[in-house]
Amino acid sequence: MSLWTVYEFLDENLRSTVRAWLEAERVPKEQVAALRAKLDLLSRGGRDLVPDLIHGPIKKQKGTKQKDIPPGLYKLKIRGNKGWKQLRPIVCYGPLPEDPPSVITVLLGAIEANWQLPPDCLKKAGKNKEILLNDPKRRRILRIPRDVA
Amino acid sequence: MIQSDGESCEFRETLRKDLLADEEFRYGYAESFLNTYVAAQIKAIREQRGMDQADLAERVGTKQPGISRLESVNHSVWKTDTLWRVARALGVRLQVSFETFGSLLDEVEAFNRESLERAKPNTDPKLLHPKPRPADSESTMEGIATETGGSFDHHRVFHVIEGGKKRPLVDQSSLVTEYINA
Repeated sequence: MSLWTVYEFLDENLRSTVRAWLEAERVPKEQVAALRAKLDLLSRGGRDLVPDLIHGPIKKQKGTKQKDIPPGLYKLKIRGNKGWKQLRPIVCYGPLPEDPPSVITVLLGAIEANWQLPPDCLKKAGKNKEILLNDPKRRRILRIPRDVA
Repeated sequence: MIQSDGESCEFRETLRKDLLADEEFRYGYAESFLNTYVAAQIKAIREQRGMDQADLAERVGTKQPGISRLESVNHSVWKTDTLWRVARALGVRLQVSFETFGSLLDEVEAFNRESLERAKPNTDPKLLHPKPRPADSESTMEGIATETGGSFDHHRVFHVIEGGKKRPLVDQSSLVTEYINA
């Protein structure tokens, strides 16, 4: 039985945005597996048992005024050892009103470089959250596939 | 939101197939699982003991940020010496073993706070209560006799009353079991 549920935001054709992101960034297979393991354990054990995975809420970003940062955004921290990329998918709790506290949605994939998130990623993530609030069909339970190219 | 048993079966089956299909995937998954498991277990047992990170740090002989690093799912450089010091501070032992990928399925499914917690020696039922040995009925009977302030005569034949008739008890192990369960 799972304690938590992890969703992902879908594009306008209801396709997986996480898969598209992992493919576009050519994330190594071992690191994809590492990301999946952490999310599986989050879903099984809850946030309390995966310390240092969910960070936020994000309040600062270089080049962005604090008032322009959408509220309620967090990042998942999957450290890139072995020369891997620093994966930082942007997530929010819920965000649908009927969601219990144990639901998060991955809004946008992101890679951190030099301790900085990509410019505009928070703005995009905030926009995805708004889209989702207006159209709840734009998400489904996240299943990270083994065979990301 | 708690998922159903059906979804749980699907989860396990998908993971099973993926671990079987690809070597890179299974090692990446297993290593990430191990790092997360160790971090989570240190936190779970620490909280079970009613300690905060500073308390544990003091017992380990380090500072609180050091414990925070150990309790991170992103920590991946484990030294057995450090883990032993943490184990000692928490009143548990460390075990390192090589395992199959199949057993990983059970471990992922069972990942929860209860499965991570461990008893201290003075509350560990397996340390506190000796297991009786039914096969060795004579020594057990002797032990029981001594414990109750009596003595046990190895040459004495016990009798049972069945259907109004007395007969020698050939199998004294059943007497031991009956005594223990009484």
